[in-house]
Amino acid sequence: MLFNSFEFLVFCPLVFLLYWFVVKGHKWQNLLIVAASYVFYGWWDWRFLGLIALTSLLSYGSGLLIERFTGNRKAQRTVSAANIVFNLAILFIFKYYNFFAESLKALLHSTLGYELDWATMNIILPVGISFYTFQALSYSIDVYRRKVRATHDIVELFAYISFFPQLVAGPIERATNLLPQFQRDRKFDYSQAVDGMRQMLWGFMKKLVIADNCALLVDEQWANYQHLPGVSIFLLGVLFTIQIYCDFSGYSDIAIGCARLFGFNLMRNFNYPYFSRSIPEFWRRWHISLMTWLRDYIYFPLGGSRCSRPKIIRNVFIVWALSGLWHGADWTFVCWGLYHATLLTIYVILGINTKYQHNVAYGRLLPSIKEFLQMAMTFVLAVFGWMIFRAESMEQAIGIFKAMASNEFYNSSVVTGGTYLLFGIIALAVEWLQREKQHALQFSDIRPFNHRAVRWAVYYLIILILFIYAGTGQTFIYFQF
Amino acid sequence: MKKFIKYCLLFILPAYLLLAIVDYVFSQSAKRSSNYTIEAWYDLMNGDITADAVVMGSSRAWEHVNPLILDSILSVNTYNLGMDGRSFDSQILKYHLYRERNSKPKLIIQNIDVFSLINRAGIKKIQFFPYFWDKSMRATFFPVEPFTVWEKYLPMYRFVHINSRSEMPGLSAFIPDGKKTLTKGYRGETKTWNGMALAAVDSIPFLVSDTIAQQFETYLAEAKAEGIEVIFVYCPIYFGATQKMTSLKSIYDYYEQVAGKYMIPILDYTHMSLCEDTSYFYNAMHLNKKGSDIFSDSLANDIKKMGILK
Repeated sequence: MLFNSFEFLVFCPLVFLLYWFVVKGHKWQNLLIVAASYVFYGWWDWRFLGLIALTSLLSYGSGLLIERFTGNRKAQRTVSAANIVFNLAILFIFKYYNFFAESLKALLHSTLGYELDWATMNIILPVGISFYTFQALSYSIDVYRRKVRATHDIVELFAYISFFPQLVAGPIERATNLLPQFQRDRKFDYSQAVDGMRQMLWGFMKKLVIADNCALLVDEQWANYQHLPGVSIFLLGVLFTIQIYCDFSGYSDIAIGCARLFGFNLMRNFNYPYFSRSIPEFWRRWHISLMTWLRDYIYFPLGGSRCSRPKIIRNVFIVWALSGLWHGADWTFVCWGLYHATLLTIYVILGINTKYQHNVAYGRLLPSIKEFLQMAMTFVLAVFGWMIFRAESMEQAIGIFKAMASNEFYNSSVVTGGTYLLFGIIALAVEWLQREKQHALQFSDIRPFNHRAVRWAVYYLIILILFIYAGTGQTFIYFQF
Repeated sequence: MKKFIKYCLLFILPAYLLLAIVDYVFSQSAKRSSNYTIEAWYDLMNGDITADAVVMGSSRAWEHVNPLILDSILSVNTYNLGMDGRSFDSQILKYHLYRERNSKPKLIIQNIDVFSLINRAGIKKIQFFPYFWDKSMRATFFPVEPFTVWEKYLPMYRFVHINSRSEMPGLSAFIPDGKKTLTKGYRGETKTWNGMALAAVDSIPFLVSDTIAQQFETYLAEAKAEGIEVIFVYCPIYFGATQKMTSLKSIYDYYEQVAGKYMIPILDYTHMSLCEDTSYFYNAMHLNKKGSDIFSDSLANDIKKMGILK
């Protein structure tokens, strides 16, 4: 079920009413959440519910075993490792098998002239498999690390892994944050629920008005890049940069807002990444839940930044190659990851990778010229990265950059997408003004928005914009990951 | 919680109600739109047609038979109920709506061709948008071409999101401008020959859907029972297309058998002299205004000779 579907418009209020009015006590509410989440996911393809259930069971069982082997660290490690292997095996089969098989096939063909004819299988990629697998892994690893106690309540763990607002595209929650919320009674909080609704509204605005419309233009023109002038290709990259941000951060806003309606606080996933002054800062603000996951479970165990510089660089490349692979089974994603690893390495070598921990232009309306130029440069670097990410193959990625450099530089007749670029810029401007807040519509303490009538006027205006300009109900880009 | 629910309802309900009112008013006004697909319904839904003869068929009836010419030669009132791009399953629904609100005709001029009895997807749904609030239109056409849930339950949504369908230029197309594009349901096409559809003609098979064929025969039987005369008409086709149509014999065989069963006369204009001149066509299957006037004249004179409407 998509957030931007009519089914969800019925589903969400229905579950909300059942959750707060019919079901009493957190245990029954958890059970309702599991049922609702399975309906939510099964709406797409019920056959894959078994996969989520299996992942949940494996995590539940491993948690109990790790607890049972208290005092026997070796056994605990074996259980935890076995759980990781099982979960990654599922992920590998469904997401990566064909990719590696194809790559092996190509390698054998090009080096030995040997033809593999058995290599690939017709496998459907289950929506959101990377998200819930990583969330499940987080639980068992944290139990092993003694950061969270193993739960004996199977419903609790099923609810934690399948919680519908963030099931298919995150934020990838940590057991340390989300699981305890399933273990206590939840009380309805009016201001939290209202703010959740506001966050959802802003998410819908970004997704339906900006991302979906940009998608139409980008999809239409991308295949035609050979005939576009350099400026148009770059503009296409900018449009995709705005599209992917509005798509994914829009989804995260809806997910976080929706969870707040049910009394849950999910972790923040985006912190205005396009207002970053450097690539490391950008990655501290983009898809925070994945980046911190990779940091905590891969980068730190490899030694993180507390080792020699060559090892730090090695660690960066390992993490980013994996990050690329996490996004998709294609060399374009790996290349995109390595592109960012290269950029990050430059910052590591210069020793400025941890600079800019606070918001840009803090306490000021406008950035300084230096800050503006830093943001512009970071944005352009991100655009180039997203162009690799968007390419359908490495040949296309190379072709796009070649065309951008060698085609006619400017031809006004083929530069399109101005309207939606403008929408994107307006949304980013609103977010700039609200960059100290969790989301752009957190404005009830600002005059004149402290008056309900003014706030409602803003909501109606956004709904009107949604009503008129909402695109064609495209799926979310990150569902494929 | 009560406060939350109260404010949610206070926020949503008045806005929804207002939108529903706007939708109703806009729909009423949109019925008078000069867009041809919508205009085709106006007289019929108002019950303003008191025709002696009605023309039934697809675009090959709608763009070919000029009622004014039939009126002048036969001294009757004729109305064209042809439906652009539709086969008989849609035509019959329109006929039922016609009969529900208008008087019984004495004669039905039924266009028949290779497309008449096949299942065709892609009805131009927007023609029904102004009639969203009309019970009989809902009951008749909405089950055939279901509206999306957004179109059904979100007032004005169907009008606002018209651009994405590329069927119409936009919301403005629903606003009446006092112009008329149809003459008693007929539209004379002013375009000139473009050769379209000629290449594809030889690959058009003559298919008969059992369900539609059943509907067709029921309709003929009912007309006969009600004393309504029916004439089958093969409208002109560009001769280059006729020569290429491998399915022609099976078409003739089928309709001859049906006509024989219900004692229906057949008028065949596929070999008229104008069929050899592209200046009378705008594509292989459709006459332009010039061609349709000549064809309508021949048709009216032939009907006159038959003495059916005396």
